[in-house]
Amino acid sequence: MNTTNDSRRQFLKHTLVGAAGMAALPVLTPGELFGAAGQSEKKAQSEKKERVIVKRKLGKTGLELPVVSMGVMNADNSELVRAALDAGIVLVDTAHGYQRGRNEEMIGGVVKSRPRDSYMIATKVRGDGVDRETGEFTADAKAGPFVENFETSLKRLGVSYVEILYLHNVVTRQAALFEEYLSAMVKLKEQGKARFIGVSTHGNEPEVIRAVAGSGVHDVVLTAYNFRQPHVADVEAAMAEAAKAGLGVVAMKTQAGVYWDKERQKPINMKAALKWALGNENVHTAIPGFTTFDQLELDLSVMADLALTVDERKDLEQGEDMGYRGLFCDQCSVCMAQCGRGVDIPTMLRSYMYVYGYRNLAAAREALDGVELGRLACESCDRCTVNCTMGFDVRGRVRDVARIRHVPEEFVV
Amino acid sequence: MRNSAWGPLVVTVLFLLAAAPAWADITVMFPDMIGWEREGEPAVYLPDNLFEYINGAADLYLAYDFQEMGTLNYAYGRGGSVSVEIYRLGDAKCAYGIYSQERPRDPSYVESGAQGYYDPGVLNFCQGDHYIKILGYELADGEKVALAAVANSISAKISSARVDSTESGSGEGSGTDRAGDKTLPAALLCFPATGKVPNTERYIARDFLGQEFLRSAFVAEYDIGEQGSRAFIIEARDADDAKGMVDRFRKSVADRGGKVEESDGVVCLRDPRQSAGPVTLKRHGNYVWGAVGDDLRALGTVLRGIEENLKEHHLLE
Repeated sequence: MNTTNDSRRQFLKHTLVGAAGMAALPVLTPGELFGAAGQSEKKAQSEKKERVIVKRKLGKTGLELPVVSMGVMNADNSELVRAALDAGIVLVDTAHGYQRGRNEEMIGGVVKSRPRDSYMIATKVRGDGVDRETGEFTADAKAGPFVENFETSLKRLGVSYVEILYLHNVVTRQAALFEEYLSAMVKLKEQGKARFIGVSTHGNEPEVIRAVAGSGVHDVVLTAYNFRQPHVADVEAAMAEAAKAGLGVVAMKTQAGVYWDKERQKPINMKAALKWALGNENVHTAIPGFTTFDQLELDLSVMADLALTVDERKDLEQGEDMGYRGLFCDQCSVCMAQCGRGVDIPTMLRSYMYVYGYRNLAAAREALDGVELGRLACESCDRCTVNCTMGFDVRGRVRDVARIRHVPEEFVV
Repeated sequence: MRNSAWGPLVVTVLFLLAAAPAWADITVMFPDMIGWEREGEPAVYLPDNLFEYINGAADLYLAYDFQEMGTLNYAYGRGGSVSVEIYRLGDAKCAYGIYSQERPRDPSYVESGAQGYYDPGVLNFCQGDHYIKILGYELADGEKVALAAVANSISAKISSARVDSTESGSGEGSGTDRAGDKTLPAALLCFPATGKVPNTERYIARDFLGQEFLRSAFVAEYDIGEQGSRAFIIEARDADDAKGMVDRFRKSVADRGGKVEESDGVVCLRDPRQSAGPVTLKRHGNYVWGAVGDDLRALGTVLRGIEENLKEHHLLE
């Protein structure tokens, strides 16, 4: 970890540039707009303050990045991207498909007047020919359109290369290692159009992370990671393996959906959520998707002290108080001795996690297939004696997940 | 295509459990068309799982109050196929907003819905609170004609669904925000034409100018000043809400050490974080309009033009 205060110098530099720009503005007051007499404007005073920038190395890429980067997707505001870069953020993350290319164009407009070594860009390109049920690429997947789309992205961004090119939204090992796209990405790297290559994933992350960690070809993985992930322990284990293998690990969706509730009435403490993610040193940088100047300040402020305060920790535990216990069963099997009907609860809860956490119906069904049918006894039992060590509503979950046995086979691929 | 339609639906059922999502609404928007054959039934996506279909782009749709989306493929009898995606957003402004976010800089407009365009392989349009995307694959007999035919059928279906909904007493309100409406939000008509960069009108659903309290705005770009300029129109809930926005903006800029001036009802804010130039704005009733740019004299003309147009369209009291 590398903590620097050199941002003060950078901040002052940009403040001076900004002030010079202000001085060049016409000296008209609002009244002059409408014909009234005006007075001379004075230069605006910028707020000056020191900012701590915490940097980590992005695995074997060797890139030193502030731990807070910017997910630009939601920021339809070039001013905000400019402000972020001025404030010390280095990496901006976008994708070929965002706003049908306008997101990349907007970034291109911002960076065109900046030295190429003052910022870094990550973009993502989807591979065509994916089977939506299995998440695997089919024979229709061809490198040609993928490469064309990436070349288009470079044009939109106005650069000759990006720092990171991701294969967008990979959810299986097969897709992560799919030869057609992997070869194309390696070639683009050799051509110098992408300095580093990787995949992005926000489904079935552990499998994908482990696949790219072992490929020997990928440099970076962009993964969903937050304190509310039901399978967070498995994600963390995979991230640790990836980091050990030299992969750069970038975290997204760190702020866990912004709200606790589906009604969007109970906001999550965003600063605490980001700190929580960055508290894991296997996360080399995160790409929160801020959309306001205040959020930018808030996200940058976490670097002043990455440790969660007692209150912040409490805020993150609110979900548990509200009944959001998560989905990850640690398979301790204490429940097995408590259940009078011998239900294979750990397997059922693992299946539950596959459905609601990984969103992987096939894995859930496969887990259930290993459970003896006669043991699905919760459906006829009114007296549950199980006291789960993690506080799960065991009977409710078992009854719930048992229903997927009734889903027609052809829907579970 | 054996399972493509049902797989996501099954997952949705499992995820949402006892919730009763209104997917029936969106599935009826897919018309039966002579010469076209449905490939299965529509797959439906809701806010909780939209990302499974469009990845990280889902966040932007959620910002535009995404409600539900249905997608269905049709095979064309003469060869080729189309993939239709029908999105229902919170209201007509949001539907136009997400449509305008994805519209190219130089669109080839078509007569579909409130506004639509054709790009090779694609025909997108918005209508009422719906945004419709049609992708063509290897269509015979002229892709544009085929896509336009599909668009017209969907447009008619949306219109008829709206009529049915109104007749059955379930329709709410009227005018620009209801499905089936083929007019654009009126505020879009209030940007003066002189100096306006064509096809740059958009609707930003949240955090306009990077300020949460400004919420949403219609914007258009103007070829004014060295960096170009942007004009905007904000529709607040009421006059107090509009005043509150301006007051908060003033305070925010002042707190940052920026300059705030006011004369003849026009406020000029030099926010150190806005490098595109000062923000000048005016307020009346529930409307706030203004511009961002450094050629204040030229932008003054734009502001006056917006005010006149707001009056002409009976949007100002």
